[in-house]
Amino acid sequence: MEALVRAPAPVMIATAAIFAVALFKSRSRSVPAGLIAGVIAGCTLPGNAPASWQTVITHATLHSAHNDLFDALDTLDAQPGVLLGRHIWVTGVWRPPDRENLATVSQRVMACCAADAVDIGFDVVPTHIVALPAGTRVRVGGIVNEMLRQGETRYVLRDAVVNGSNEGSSGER
Amino acid sequence: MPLRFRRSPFTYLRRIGLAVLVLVGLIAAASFPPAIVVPRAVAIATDLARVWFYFCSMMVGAAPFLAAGALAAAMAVRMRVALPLFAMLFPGCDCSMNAYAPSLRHARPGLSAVAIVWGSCCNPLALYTTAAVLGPRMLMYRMIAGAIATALTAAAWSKIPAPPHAGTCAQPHNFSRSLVDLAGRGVTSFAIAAGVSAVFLALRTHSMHGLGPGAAALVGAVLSPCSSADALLARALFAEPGTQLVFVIAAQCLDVRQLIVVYRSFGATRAAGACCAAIVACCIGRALVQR
Repeated sequence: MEALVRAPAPVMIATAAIFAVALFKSRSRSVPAGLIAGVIAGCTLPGNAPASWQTVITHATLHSAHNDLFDALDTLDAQPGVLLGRHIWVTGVWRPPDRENLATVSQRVMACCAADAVDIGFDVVPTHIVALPAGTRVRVGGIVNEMLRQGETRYVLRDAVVNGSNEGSSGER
Repeated sequence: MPLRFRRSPFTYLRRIGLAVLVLVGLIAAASFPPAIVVPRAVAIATDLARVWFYFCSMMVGAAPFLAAGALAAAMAVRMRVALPLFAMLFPGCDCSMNAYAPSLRHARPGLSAVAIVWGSCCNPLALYTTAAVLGPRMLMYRMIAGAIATALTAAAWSKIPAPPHAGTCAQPHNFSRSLVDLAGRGVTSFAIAAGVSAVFLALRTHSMHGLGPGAAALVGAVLSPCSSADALLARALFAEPGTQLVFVIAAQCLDVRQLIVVYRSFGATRAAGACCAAIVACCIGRALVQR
């Protein structure tokens, strides 16, 4: 259920049990058809979550989560002068550049379900072309810069080095 | 001798309407060169897949709250617990409200308005996440705007006469029938709203930064996020605190999910009253934040 919602398995099993009991208690003739339709609908879902419906957010949104990426964005929100122009390392998920957007390193914050999931992180300008596929877990080190794009201040890691954290080697070529 | 239909001819047309539409679409598509049709067909199929994914995500995400709401409301009806009080304190926001709103029909209009509006906007979970994500100042403004929306809705509902179907719906006699009835109504209401939100999510994919308060209210109303997620989205999408508050209040009091529930349970006039109250609360809340 991680791709769709962030819910513990026991909660979802209990929910399914309540709906199943309610359906069977209703003695409706459409129960088997409903179950078959549900199984077919479940089979049509993708195995992994698609990209978030938003572009990557480059400011802090959650104070309670602690890791290097969120801590850096929290610091940038509170005191930008402390980090601007400095070299930092952050960990997250890699997304290669496209025609409209720079490459990004981000982490997904999901409050309830995939519909409200937002990717929070940094734009990245690497020193070399990075051959890692989208979705790879990476560790990125670069100099923090700010950039104005479409009226929004965005934070960029320039001259960045991108390491795939799974293999522990450089993904650059 | 004229043919005698067991159903009206319109019903037969409606049954084949979808098939006719698909056929007309295919014929229209076939009249264009494949180089034009195929890329658009792929884009439409991708959008439809995203709509389907988001719809399922919302349905699965809301399922525990719908089940818990129906279960708790069925128990409360059976045990004659004060349902409005329960609704105000239940930390399940408007997902669970879809399930237990019909059981509030028999409460006093003002009391059911308080339960629904305050329960969706200022339930304990929503207040906790607002304090954690937006800070104590925005928490205070959320509570003030929520109280204004609640008071205005309660005042309006007390003046508006009950719709003809209210109170005449089938009274659930036992626990299982009550549970099935409430869960069924909740799933139906939520599915309509989730469909609207999923279409909006799939089509509106660009950045929303720089939107004004009016557009933020519209986004909140159509997106209709859970009360545990609205503060997070407000902080991610909007920079100005006044716009964040408008988004949060519209997302809980003016949203399609809430309005569909109110319309289905309490009628169109009371839904319009709740809508007006929410708009006034958004305006006052924003003015307070910018003061």
